[in-house]
Amino acid sequence: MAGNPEQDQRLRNLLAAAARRDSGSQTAFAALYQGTSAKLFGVALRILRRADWAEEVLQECYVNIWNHSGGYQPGLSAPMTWMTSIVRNRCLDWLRRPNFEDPTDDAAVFDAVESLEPGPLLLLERSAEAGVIARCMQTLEEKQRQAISVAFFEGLTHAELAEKLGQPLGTVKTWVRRGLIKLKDCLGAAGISSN
Amino acid sequence: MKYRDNPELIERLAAEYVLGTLHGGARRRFAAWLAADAALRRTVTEWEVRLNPMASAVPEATPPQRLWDKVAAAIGERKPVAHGRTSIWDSLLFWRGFSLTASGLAAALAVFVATRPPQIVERVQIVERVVEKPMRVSDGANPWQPSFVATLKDRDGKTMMMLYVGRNSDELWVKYEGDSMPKDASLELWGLDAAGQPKSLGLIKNSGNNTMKLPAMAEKSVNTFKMLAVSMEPVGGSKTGAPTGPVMYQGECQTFW
Repeated sequence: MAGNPEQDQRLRNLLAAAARRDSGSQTAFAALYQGTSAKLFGVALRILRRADWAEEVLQECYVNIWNHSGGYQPGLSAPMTWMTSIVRNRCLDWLRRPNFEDPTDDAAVFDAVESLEPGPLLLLERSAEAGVIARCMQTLEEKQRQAISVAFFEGLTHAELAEKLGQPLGTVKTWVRRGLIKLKDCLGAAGISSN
Repeated sequence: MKYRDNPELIERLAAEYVLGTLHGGARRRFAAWLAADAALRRTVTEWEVRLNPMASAVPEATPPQRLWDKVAAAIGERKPVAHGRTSIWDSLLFWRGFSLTASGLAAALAVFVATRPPQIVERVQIVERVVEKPMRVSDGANPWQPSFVATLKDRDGKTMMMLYVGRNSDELWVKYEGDSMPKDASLELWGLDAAGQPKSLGLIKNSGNNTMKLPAMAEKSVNTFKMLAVSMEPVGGSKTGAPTGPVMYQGECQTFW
């Protein structure tokens, strides 16, 4: 995702080709989809926990990515970072929409529990790709690290996080806030988004 | 708006917006500020750059093909499906452009003869006579393979690719009518057997005419293919032995003796 300049460049080229809206654009976009959809579907599945929802969200997101391919600014973020934001934001909106039914209430439509294993922390520790962020997460206190990774991977609110971790709301909010500040310092020292 | 005078608050809200813990009314309000404030958007982007790489730790999950079909339909130009003479004559030119074995050409032409209006049939028959040659005989040790033709269409029914393999030939002629290929991806051709199991037949190199050497494995089983399909793959083709990307074109395989 980050830290693979070759892959970044390839996705940047494909986004630019899609944005040109010429005879090669749709083919380029198909290649972009080919190169990113499994990753983004994985991200959406983990947050939404239902394959049909993840599909619906991803469909909207790819149409959005096509529509806004000309607005992507290569100087600001890597293509995968940009697309991940589009997908995560849409997933979070989906979870917070009115009349939302919790997927865990609906056993008929999956997603299978085993696909949620291993947990977010373990995922991050094992990930070779996550690179600097994984290392910086290791510098946090364990409870901060756990709160941030669960919030990020599962799209939980403070209140849901407090319930899941069995802690008072204020405590969890503090863990998240302090953890984020520490992360920013660590990543800044590593040259990522320092300001 | 007061938030502008409070850089610490801005930083915290941006971080929690990206993390996802900012929700409800606060999230909506923040999103509205974002739309109107370029500096705030930059702060959010910085947090995306910081946090989003965590997403690479999530295991990949290949979405079903129908997802791509829906996306492609939504972004595609809605062109009417081509009918009429243009495509027929394009096809004829295509078949005539190759020096096919006589039986192969006759067989291929039979498709057009069977389905076209009389005046076109007449032209086809003239072409057929010109190239008619004695048929090759099987040597017994190497029993005849059928020749086959396939027309692959995109989801709008537009013919994108025509293929032909001559009897006992390991060469596949391909005419690809689509976009020029992006440098960063490959189109891969698949043969699907009756059970729907795909076998790679190789990569489509470029638009226009291609000649592909069929892999020996495919040559043997070419007559068992029911369908051909083309998928979008990473450069060099699928590493898994099965299509990993969206199916772009597909069509039935017609065999001829």
